[in-house]
Amino acid sequence: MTTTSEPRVSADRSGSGTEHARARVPAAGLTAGALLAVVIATWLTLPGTVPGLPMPGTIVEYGLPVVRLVLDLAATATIGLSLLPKLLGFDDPDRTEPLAARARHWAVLFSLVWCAAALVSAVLSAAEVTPGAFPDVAAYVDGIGAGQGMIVSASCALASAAVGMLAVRFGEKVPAELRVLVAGFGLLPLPVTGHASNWYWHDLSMVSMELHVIGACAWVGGLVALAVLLPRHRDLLARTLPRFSRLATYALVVVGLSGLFNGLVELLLTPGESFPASLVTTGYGRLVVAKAVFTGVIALLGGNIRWRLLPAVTRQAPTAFAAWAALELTVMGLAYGVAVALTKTPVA
Amino acid sequence: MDQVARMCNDAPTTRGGRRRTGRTAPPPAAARAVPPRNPPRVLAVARGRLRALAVPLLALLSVMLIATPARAHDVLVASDPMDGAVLGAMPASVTLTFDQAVRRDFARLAVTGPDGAHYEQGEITVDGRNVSIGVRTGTPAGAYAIGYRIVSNDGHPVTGAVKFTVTGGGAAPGAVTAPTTTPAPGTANPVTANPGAPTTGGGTAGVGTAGVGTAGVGTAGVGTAGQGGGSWVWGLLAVTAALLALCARVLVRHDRRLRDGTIPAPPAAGTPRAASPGGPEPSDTPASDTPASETEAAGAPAAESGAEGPAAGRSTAAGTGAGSSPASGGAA
Repeated sequence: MTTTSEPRVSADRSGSGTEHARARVPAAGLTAGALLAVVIATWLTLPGTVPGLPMPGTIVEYGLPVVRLVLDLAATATIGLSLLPKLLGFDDPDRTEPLAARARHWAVLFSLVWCAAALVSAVLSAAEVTPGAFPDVAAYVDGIGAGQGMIVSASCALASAAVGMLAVRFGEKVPAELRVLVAGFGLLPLPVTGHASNWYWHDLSMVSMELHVIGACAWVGGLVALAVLLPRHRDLLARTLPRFSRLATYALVVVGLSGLFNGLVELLLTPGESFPASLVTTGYGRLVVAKAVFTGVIALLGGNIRWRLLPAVTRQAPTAFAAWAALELTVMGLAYGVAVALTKTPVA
Repeated sequence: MDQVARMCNDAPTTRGGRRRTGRTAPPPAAARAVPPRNPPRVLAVARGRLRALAVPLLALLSVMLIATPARAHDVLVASDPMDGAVLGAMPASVTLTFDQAVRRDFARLAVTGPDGAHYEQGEITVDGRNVSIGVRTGTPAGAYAIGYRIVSNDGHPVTGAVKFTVTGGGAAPGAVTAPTTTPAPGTANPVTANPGAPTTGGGTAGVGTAGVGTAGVGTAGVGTAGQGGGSWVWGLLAVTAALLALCARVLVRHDRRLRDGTIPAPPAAGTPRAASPGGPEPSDTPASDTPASETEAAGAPAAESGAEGPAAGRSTAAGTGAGSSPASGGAA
């Protein structure tokens, strides 16, 4: 409780206020893009009123996607910040340690947000299936796999926060691999809460979804960690960005292929809709198209960073890396928002 | 915990060598036998390969662990009467057919008449992919709608409506009780109708109020059942929320102290006392307890992170506002 040197700290802070504002632009872009996309996509795919039955209120209908988005973004940030020490490397602790310390701090905070969002999401989901009545969370979690998935995810987020707390206290002695692993386990139940197809290769589509979620989190989370923490440290960026670039290439391939696979399988296997037409006639199909377009744009932006900026970055020359990364993250945010709506939208 | 304590006891001399010391310490995992001073590129590639292997393995494991498979959304494939049908007389019951088996719990049906009143009667019966409910007698001619909400196997509600038109009078009185004779197994029916509901009601107004009344009873029943079975869940949720808030508070306070230099930064914290399970709680760590050099070393990163770091006010905002704060915090 000894906050004696508060004036000094605030003086330091006001001195670099614009730097802070600039550092926040990528995160703000990601969040704003995601919020915009999720609200629009939810509004577009809102189910019509059902005659004779109570409908869930506006708070549930919009709150559930938004909370789910918060969950996804917090999980992504947790993964990315846990990955950051691996990207930074351990051979120059004097330079990397301040950044790694901040990454550890924020990783714990985002784990806590993740846990809270998962629990709120479970409550809102329970409210969604029993509109007009008090949400029965126990029955929902007991009876429906999505509820169990949310609880498991919240537990993993809590465990991730605990490990992260240890890391905050003991530094990088708590291995980054462990942190990534624990947080990664929290991602695994999330696809269960979306819809996988009910076909013969059901397990294959589940694996594909797991890969999709893990790949997206590593990719977006890694980029947001780099874009927020690293742009003013050109020497570190010069070493880190090539490593991340390799990771991003793998992630692009994995995320793109698995997403395409899952979306098309879902469209193909839905009864009552003919396939190529359902891409534009159904809300689900339109969202799949939107996501594919976003992925293409992200690939272009990523390619721009990789081939046009990376050589200059490795030379430690001044580049517009932060701006390009912020732009890419904004498009990624749009894709995240659409993804949240996609998990909830019925095909037919 | 023991391993962490042991690693802390290694008493690293400089901050620069700390990470390597941790690496060469008795490894917690057997795979930690990698020589630490190798070029990092080689290490990174090897680890990247390991991770690339681990990811699909983890995914497979999860599919096996999480035994409740997510299924697709249920989709309405047929109905009796069909959508847009024109019937001479109201059938005794309506049936909706989905492409997959329907969950008994959470399923709801409503038959709404041209006057807006409810005409469904009896309990919902679920038979595999079919969901049906009885219809009252004495229905007026006009446009009807069957509203449905079922919960898919993936936990998502599926809603919709089937519309049809009745041109003639009501159904045969005897057929009305047919659906109620086959009670489905499972939990309490959300749409429990009053068993003593008048089936001989003549006036539409009277029937309408009765229908509304039963709907009200249904929701009330759900509400009480939910609270009776789940009050401990709310308690648990509240406790978890409090725990999360506490964790966030501790963390933010720790961060602030770190910045103030009241406590040493993590790399310098090598005292065995710090290895208690309450690692996140930095309650009493007087600076006099640590060697001066370490405090000095801690001061540099603390000041640096203070200069570049996120404002403490923002940390607080992100920490205390549980659900919606990151959005606002990030956008602010």
